Amino acid sequence: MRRFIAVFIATVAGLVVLLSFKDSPAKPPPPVALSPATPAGSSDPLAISSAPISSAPGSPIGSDPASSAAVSSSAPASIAPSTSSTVPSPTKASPAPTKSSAKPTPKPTPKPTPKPSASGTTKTVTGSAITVGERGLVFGVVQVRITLTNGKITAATAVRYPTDESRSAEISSYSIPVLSREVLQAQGSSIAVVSGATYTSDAYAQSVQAALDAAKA
Amino acid sequence: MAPKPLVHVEHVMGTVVSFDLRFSDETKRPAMEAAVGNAVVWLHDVDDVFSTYRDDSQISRLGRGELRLADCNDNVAEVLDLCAAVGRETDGYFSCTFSGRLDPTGLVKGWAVQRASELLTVAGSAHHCVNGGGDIQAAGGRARGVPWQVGISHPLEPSGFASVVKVTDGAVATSGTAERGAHVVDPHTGRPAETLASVTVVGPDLIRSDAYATAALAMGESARNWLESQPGYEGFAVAADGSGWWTSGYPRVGSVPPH
Repeated sequence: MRRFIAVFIATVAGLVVLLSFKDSPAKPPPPVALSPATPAGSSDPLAISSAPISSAPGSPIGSDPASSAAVSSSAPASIAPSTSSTVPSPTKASPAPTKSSAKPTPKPTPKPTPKPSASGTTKTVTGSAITVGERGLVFGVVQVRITLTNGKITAATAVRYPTDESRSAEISSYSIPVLSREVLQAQGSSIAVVSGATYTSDAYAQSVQAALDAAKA
Repeated sequence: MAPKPLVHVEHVMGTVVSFDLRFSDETKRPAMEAAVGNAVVWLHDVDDVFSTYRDDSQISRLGRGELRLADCNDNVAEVLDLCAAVGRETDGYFSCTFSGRLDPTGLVKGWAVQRASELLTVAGSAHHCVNGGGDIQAAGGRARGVPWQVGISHPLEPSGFASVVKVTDGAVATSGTAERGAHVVDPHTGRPAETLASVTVVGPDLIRSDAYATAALAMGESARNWLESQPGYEGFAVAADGSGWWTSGYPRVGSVPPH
């Protein structure tokens, strides 16, 4: 469960980081641009396809009605390590070179500036419900809604996330210490019976169960 | 002072079955002893019919085609139906066929012990626990409002415990590689299951708790999610390296290490 939340947080954080980079022209050369960039060494963790965010030149972000973001993540999702766009032609939308030179001018002059000049355009984007898993185990479903104002994320909410009802397993492995009979006894546990891997008649004589039976008989 | 518990140990079905009956009134002891006697007879009857070690048992003759199912004891059809149902529920990880031969042994013990517990209940026992070779069916707690505390043997250190389960009415079954070696075989590969040292399943009935524990051991790591999706059953596993995991509902019934 904890890991779930971690995954979820990481996913959201990844989104936020990615989208912030994308939409903060003040930052010199954005290390990660949402659409085209695929940093070296990235395996897969975060794949974002997002129509509105990599909007076509000139079209204000808030105007695209068919916006959807699909995030696929294999846990544990690292924060913003890799992005790969599944949108075919967003590359032109955010050319990094132009961006680096573009100061946050309010004027809508250069096409590449993703920021619409108009006064606050607010848009809410709900991502697709995605299944989060690791090595064949399904942890649950995560779905995120983000609010964009002038192309900047101003809010991110989980609309679906794994809960106890989803009966997700404790994901981590823990070291299982040996509880000694003496310590348990001292703690007031009165073990009446022992469950263990099948014992044969021979093994029974050596078992804790045999000692318990003898004590009670 | 409460009467001394009635404890009986019976060697049967290739293992040992322990009975532990609690009652508040000493005058009930003769009736409880008679109930245990009936349950013991039942277990030996089951062994006669289902033992794959005896050539003349009904299950052996059925397997060789010398006997028709209709000519067998009614219990045979019941057990084979259960085998088929559990096989489906476990995606085939639980199987009553071993090396191509009919062998419902993996289900029979849990089934027989669960029925033995039911016999005791019918005979008036309100608080008892039947342990068939490490697989337990409990009823009524050890006293009114006091659950049975079941120690889960630590597979890597069998004199100690990995967890303690509290159960009032229900079953606790542990399947493991510890005491009989790798005796659980993955029916899909035919190879012994080895990644998990033991799996414990806690549920309402021993038939499925026991069979699910066996299947989970064969599944290995994927048992985690599979057990998670079985409503009413909780699981706790210890791997060969001493690490472990449990289902999200397990902490409600059993202790887990601090984490």
